[in-house]
Amino acid sequence: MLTFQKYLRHVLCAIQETTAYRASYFINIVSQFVSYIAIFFLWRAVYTGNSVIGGMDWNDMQGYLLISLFTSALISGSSEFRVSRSIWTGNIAVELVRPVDYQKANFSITVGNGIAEGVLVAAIGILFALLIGFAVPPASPAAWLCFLLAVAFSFITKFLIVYIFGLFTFWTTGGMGLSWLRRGLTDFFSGAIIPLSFFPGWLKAAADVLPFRGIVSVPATIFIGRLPPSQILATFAVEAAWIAALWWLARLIWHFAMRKVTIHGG
Amino acid sequence: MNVIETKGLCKSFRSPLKKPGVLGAVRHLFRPEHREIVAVTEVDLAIAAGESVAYVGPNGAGKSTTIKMLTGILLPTGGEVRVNGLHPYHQRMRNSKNIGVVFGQRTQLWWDIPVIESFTLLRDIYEVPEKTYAENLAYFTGMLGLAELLHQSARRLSLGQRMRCDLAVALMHNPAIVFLDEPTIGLDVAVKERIREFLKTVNRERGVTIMLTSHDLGDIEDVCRRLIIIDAGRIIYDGSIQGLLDRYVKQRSIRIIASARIDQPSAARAMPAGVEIVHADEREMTVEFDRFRYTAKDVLEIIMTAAEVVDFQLEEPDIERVVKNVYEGRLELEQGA
Ligand SMILES: Nc1ncnc2c1ncn2[C@@H]1O[C@H](COP(=O)(O)OP(=O)(O)OP(=O)(O)O)[C@@H](O)[C@H]1O
Ligand SMILES: [Mg+2]
Repeated sequence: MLTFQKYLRHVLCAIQETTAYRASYFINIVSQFVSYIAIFFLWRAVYTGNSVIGGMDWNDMQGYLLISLFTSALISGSSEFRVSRSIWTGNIAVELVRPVDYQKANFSITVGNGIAEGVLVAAIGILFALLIGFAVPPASPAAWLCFLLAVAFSFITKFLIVYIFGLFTFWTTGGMGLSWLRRGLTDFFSGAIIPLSFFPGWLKAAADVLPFRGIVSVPATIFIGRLPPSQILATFAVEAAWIAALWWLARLIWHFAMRKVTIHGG
Repeated sequence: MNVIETKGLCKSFRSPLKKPGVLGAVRHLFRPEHREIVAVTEVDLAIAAGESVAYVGPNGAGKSTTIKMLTGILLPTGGEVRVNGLHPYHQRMRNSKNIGVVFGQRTQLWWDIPVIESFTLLRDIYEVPEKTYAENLAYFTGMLGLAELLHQSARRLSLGQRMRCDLAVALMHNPAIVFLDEPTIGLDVAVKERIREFLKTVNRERGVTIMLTSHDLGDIEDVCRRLIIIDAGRIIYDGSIQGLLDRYVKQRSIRIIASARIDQPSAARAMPAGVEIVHADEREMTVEFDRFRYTAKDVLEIIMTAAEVVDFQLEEPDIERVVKNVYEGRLELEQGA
């Protein structure tokens, strides 16, 4: 119980931290919308003259993009660099002299940041959807439940991938290149830029076995009702397996990183 | 019982060896070369509960590296280490409950939330009972003057204010040992004074074992009874501060002012072996003497046979000078022992 309390407190502090600077909090969210709107119009141009591409009509695409925005907003900015910054500055030292599990603490903080930003992004997203006259939410409570579960899986998967890449800072000197690589891989294979159903067969097959698709493609296709209900359970099973694997992979990397590498600064 | 014990503790780092320039960087990419940096070697420590120990040495001597090994964030490359009977690295979580740590250059506080929220976070992390927390918070708030700081975010605090909060954080869970790596770095005299007073009090009243590193010898003389000097990764002195002075400082000196011109040649003749004039002026003179052979009174009486003394000043050996000499290698401690 007490163990739970300490991680819950991390979540609460992270919510406070995210909202501490109201200006930057809003700017961060607005900037995500601006890039979203650009992508939105790009796709609209693609859809003029084509009613269905890759099995999706324009209405599907709008729903897909909305969920793509929402899931990428959940882990952004501060969460992206927390681990690498703390390793790079050596500040990780103060986090390690306390009785906390570094991985769980980082997860809790990311959850806090995600809640603080996610709530607002969801609110603006709904407003935007109403404004452009788009509103095709999941039809049944069961579909909603699946969607929310998929968002939870999306969040955990993305956290673990970001975290693992962050740990590589122990071996490299700059976090930037790694972060770009991470972002490229995630954006591409999650379907954040182009839905996976647009991919050629062999590439789609690859994307289907990788963990990235859980981040955008799965929740977005569930949301627009394009993931056949018969496949949902199997999809979740694969995602859960990936999460377990990544969780232990992160632990393994941590184990070696701490042993081999050192804490910067005196 | 020893709360800190090490035997033959070693730590060396593998550091990339890069030739200068772009060419060197490229070469390193393909054929990386490394060099071994020995930060700490063969360090034996035995520190009992309730002691207050200063861990001193010049820049790069290995102080922070030792502290990092004792707090469980670095794995030693050799030797044994036990803190409260635990291995700090392999039993990091359990060990960290028994220790408090202050790194002078870093903070445990979250930048953007009020200090009191960071305190609450640490309360939950260390699972401090509500009653203990309330008592400690009241105690530290009083002693360190935190009342006006608790509701500000850490970002807005000055260095000294932040350090006072960090000290409270380090002791909030009643640790048996507190490690402080340069806790007074960059602080003004008043804040230093307050922190020293605080550390002495928790050491005395609560029996907290203190191990601190500092370049401020005032901290050391004031707070600590035991001094450990490390140089180039090796312990070169371990004992009381008075012991260091007794062993390595033979000389005391007296400076006098006379009412009339001093006749230097006859003054010099008056001095017996072991008493020496090191500085002389028209009406002023400084005399150094072996403090194991003569008392100040003996020497003053000798001087008065040669000069009309109106005023005098006795200079005590001070730790600052001794430690400086040690750093500069002028005192051979191992031979001296
Ligand atoms: N991460 C590291 N990689 C390589 N060498 C290191 C590392 N950390 C410390 N060292 C080296 O180990 C030696 C001891 O460093 P340490 O930080 O323990 O010194 P210190 O006694 O704390 O000095 P200061 O008084 O300057 O804080 C130094 O030569 C330093 O360059
Ligand atoms: Mg240091």
